Amino acid sequence: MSNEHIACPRCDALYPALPLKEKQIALCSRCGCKISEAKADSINRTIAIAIAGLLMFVPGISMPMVGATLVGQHAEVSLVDCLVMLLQKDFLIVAMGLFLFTIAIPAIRLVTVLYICLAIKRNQVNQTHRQFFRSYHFLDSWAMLHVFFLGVSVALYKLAEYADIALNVGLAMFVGLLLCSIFTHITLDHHYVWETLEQASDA
Amino acid sequence: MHKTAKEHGLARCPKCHKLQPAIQNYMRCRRCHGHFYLRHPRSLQYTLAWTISALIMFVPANLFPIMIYYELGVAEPMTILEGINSLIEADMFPIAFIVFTASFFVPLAKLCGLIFLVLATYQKLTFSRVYSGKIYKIVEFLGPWSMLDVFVVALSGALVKFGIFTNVQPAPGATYFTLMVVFSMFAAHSFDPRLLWDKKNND
Ligand SMILES: [Zn+2]
Ligand SMILES: [Zn+2]
Repeated sequence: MSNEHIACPRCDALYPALPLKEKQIALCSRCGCKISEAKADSINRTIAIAIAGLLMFVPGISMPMVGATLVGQHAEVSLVDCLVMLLQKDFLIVAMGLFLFTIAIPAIRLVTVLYICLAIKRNQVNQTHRQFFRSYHFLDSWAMLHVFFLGVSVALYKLAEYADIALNVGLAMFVGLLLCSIFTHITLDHHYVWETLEQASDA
Repeated sequence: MHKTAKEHGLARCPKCHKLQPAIQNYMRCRRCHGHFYLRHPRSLQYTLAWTISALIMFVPANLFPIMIYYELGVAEPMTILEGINSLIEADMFPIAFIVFTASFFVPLAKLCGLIFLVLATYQKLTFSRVYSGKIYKIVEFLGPWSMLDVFVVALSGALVKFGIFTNVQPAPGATYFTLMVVFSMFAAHSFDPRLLWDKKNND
């Protein structure tokens, strides 16, 4: 019986579950929240984007993003350098936040999503995939690559006043990583993944 | 009229969105096997507790300098508001506006919004439910953006190391600020927006 209905995540209004066609979205008529969405070619697109994201991950966080030159001295930083600086100065909580929000959680999300989509594509779903995908939902709002990117922009804008600023390859990689992280979120069809995971274990 | 899933004896898993018979208030999801509450019994208390913790952190986060700026060996500590002020003095209005919004206005507005939501739910204010739902959506969305200033400090601290000429170092305010952001995100996650819509006499 419970597969015949869907409930709004925000206000709990109950609706009959109508099958959605590709690219259709179900909205709640009471509070306006999105209930579910049928995404086109979700699994293949997500795999492609997640792989691209993981390829850019290591260069994105470890290659110098920006450089500054002042009175003949040149300095370059990457995301990892920021982390090292915070650790050296004993800002453990800030370093922990930076590490979790911009390195650990985005990495876990990309790996999880790739792992699950590959399993679905190869029809090898088992119990452990549910655990993985549940953690994916938990980490949803804690990835902050986009905020870090805005932080880089603001810092550069401030510095440009008295130093010569140079943009490096690392920044392009980081932006690529950021876009892949956003796109996996857009292309991944949660509803479809959960239905597949459920059917696989019932059978 | 809309009926909620709860009124039909159905519970929606917050992680995998599966609707299932609500046997008891605390149950194990049939699909993802995670434990969840039909309605968290102390959702409002948790929200209020995290909000108050975040408000307390907001004070040292603004009183203590978030970074120290050394020029020719002279230390110049800067709080968030002083930093914004220096941006205004340098005629960098757009960037001053972004930093002010992300690091001062938004955190405060978020915490006020959460307190309003807790009160609105506690008092069962029915006239403002759609409106309150929108407030929750905004509060949830804004969460991570407040980390902006901390990331700016981390990047500037790692990049601006020009010996005696100019040097930027993080300061204790950054730690309190990180804690404030994390606490206020916990507060937003503790709040169950469905409580706004539950009928008056439903426990
Ligand atoms: Zn709704
Ligand atoms: Zn579930």
